[in-house]
Amino acid sequence: MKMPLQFRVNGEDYEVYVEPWKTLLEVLRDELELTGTKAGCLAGECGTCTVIVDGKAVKSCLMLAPQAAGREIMTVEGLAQGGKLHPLQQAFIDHFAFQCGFCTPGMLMSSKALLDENPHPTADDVKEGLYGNFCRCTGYVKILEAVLAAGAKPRG
Amino acid sequence: MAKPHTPLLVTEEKLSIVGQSPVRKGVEDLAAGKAKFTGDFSFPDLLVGLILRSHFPHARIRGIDTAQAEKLPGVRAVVTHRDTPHVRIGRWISDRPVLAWDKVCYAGDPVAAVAAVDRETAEAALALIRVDYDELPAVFDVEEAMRPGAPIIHEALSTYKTEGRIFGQGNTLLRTELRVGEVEGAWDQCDVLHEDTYRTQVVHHGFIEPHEALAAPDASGKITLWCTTKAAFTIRSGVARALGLPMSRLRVIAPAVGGDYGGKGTVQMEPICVLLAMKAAQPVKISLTRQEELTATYMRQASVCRLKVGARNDGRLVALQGEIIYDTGAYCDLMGLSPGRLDLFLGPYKIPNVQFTAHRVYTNNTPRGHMRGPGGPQPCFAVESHLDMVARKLGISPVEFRLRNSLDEGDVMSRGTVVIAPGIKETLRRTGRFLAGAQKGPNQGWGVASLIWDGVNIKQITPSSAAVKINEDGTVVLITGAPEQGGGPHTILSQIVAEVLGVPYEAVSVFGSDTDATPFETSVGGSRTTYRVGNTVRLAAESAREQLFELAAEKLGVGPEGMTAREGRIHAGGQPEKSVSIVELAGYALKSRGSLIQATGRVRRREWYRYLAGEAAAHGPHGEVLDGSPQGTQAVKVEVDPQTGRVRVLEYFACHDVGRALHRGNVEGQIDGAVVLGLGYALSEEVRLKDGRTLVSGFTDYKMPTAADALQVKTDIVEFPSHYGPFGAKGIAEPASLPVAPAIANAIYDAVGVRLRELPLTPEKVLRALRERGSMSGTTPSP
Ligand code: FES
Ligand code: FES
Repeated sequence: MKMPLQFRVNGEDYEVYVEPWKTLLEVLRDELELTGTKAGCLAGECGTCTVIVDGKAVKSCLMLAPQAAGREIMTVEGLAQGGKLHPLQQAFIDHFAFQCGFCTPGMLMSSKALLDENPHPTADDVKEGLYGNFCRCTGYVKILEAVLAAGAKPRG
Repeated sequence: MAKPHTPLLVTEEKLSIVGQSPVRKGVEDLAAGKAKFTGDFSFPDLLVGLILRSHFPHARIRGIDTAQAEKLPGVRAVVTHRDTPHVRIGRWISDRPVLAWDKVCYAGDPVAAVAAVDRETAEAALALIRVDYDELPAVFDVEEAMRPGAPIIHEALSTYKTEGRIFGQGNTLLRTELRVGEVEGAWDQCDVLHEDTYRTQVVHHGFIEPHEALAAPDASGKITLWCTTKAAFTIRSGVARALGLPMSRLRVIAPAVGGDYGGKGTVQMEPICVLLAMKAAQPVKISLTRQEELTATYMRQASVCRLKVGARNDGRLVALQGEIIYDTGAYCDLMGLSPGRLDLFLGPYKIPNVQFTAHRVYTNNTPRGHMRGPGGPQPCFAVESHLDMVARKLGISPVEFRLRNSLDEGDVMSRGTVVIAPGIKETLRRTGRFLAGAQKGPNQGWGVASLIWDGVNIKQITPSSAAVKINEDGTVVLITGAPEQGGGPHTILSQIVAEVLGVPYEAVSVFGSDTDATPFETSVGGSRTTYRVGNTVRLAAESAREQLFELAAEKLGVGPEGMTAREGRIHAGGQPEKSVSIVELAGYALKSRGSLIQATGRVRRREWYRYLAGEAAAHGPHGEVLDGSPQGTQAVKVEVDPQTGRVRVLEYFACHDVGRALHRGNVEGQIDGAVVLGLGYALSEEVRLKDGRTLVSGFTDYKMPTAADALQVKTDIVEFPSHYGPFGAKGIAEPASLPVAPAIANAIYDAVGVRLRELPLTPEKVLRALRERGSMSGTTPSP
């Protein structure tokens, strides 16, 4: 029943044995113990499980493990480099863009995918890009500010 | 000692870190995905726990057969009421069984639970459990539930354990009356009268992190329980009582909490999780699904509120009469309701004649409890909408009308409560100034609403304690039972410690919350964490500072009088050039005393009582004083689309008295979040039920605000210091969400002249109201 699957997550290669109906979210959290990606609804509605697969923001609770196998996956744990937070993470901190922080991993990954595609988005672009990510704490405005600020900076 | 303990009093001091907006504690971990929430803990042999729930809203249980489920391979435990003592639990009234034994009272009531090696097996096991029910007549309409002859939900209500007094007639759990002056004789003095009825809906907290619990037994039978709670000690006592366990067998840890908004302060499914873990002798995790969240957690009560208000032409309120009926569903997790609190529900006003009754009534709907301002948003919607109409009838602006009736320093509320340092008038004046320059176009309107919320009075001083430890290198650990649920308590408490000890904010770290390791803490919440826990922590830090002073006196060869702690050093009184670093003293303490500098602080109930009683006595016979009561006024501009009924929020102004903003960024964040949460309540959210069955199942049909609804709230912060809060602080988290719905309803009226009395204010309701008005006046609504 279980099958071997290869994943490339945050630049590291993993091989796991899982049932083919397991979701990418389950693989990340339960098999690879990358618990930064959160589970909020398991139904594709809240966005907190968002990761980046081949450059696109994906709700990992909706993607089956075999669909994700062999592709380039990035999770919130992969943002910081060499012990230094990613500029987007820093922008979230500087702009008070989270309170409880439970939506934050998904917000960061959706924002990253958005900025990678559109480095200087408008407020409306960001609102649209984050439409699938709920936050109950902040009222969103500081998240938008953080993403816009990160987008305004020259990017390397 | 007749003199009150001075540390509680605000002193005018030069502050270094209090009032700043330092980077919040723990944010790096949250941003990096490293912070551990309950769901992030795991064990190699972790089992999945699932709950079997009744699909009948009211039924007698004839039998439960678990034999088939138990035989299923991979099932490690099946539990029913047979595994529990038959005790009821609850925060204020113990009305809820952990697992129903005689009957179920709502569609969603837990009857059995299983733990299995994986979710699929657990689901299969649930399907194999057979429950025999005899369906009972049920009641879903709260007013029907009050009538004689209605099906009774809790037959033995009068025998239930409670912290307060219950009314207990039929399905009416609680009846509180506020009576002041003589309403009946007062109507003659009124120039205008206005009567109306308002209704509010059930809403859910909508935290993105669902309720989760992980119980892990060790070989000796001790259970460690990680759970999504802001009140670890409440969970410990609740689980212990529910299962008849000694508290020493339970250790409750509250890790990072993914949002609370009032919903994570009470026992929910944790006893079931512990029970499964004990029976399986293996760790078990239960994670509620969204559907369970929307069905079986304690949501905000629906309500019906009837009001009659009279005022004079000079704009003075003369009398208010009315009632509010809260549908509390099958189980009620709210705290009691005193007449003094009802007084607050009627707003920050002086009304000489009041007769207002509140009822909490059981129905066979889903259970209800605390959510951001428990009990408050419902009457706030009614009263603030109603006063808007009274002001209009009088031809007085809503701000001016409120100004003429609101509290000033030394004024008493209807029941005689004296509110210390009321900021309401200042928030109204500032709102008035803001609105003086406000514009509006066609189909646009402005609405205003105000609020007052609980501070601390004599009865509300719940237990709190904390410890401060100065490490031998001069850094500081604060040990508190207050977890970080997103509201920023760890940050604010660290600021208080740093301020008192004169050490850098970065030198303070926080440990919490773990019932085996931290001093007792009731919980965070009630918008009183900063005030109450902040005071406790301040006292702990002050006590540690006393020790630093003693050690410094030894080192410097001076007396401890007049010493100060600042910039990491203790300075001698009168000779500021004589000083010694805290780092040196911290190391010295270990050598000379054989211990680190450590100190505890606790709520000083007696002393507080004395203060407040003293102040109360000074204010006359009713004698109740409320300190730290937050107040505020909000103004909103909306545009109503007369074709679709859609309401768009264009501008938002929120002016709040927070006593003192200890962390300005945090205060603004709380206001932003509270306003958008209020928008959901006002415009779109509703946990719809039909015949007791919940019709929504997730974020798709339960419509919370999204990024598209982000609002640039213009905040204006008033600082009228509380007398006994740390550095003059009051609260903000709940208050800022209260006036949103009535402000929007008032703005809709201002825009298109229709009064909406039923939340949420959906496009359909707006359109219907526009049509009705159109047909009444024989015209179509103006575009
Ligand atoms: S957990 Fe995937 S969208 Fe909510
Ligand atoms: S920060 Fe709590 S849900 Fe977004």
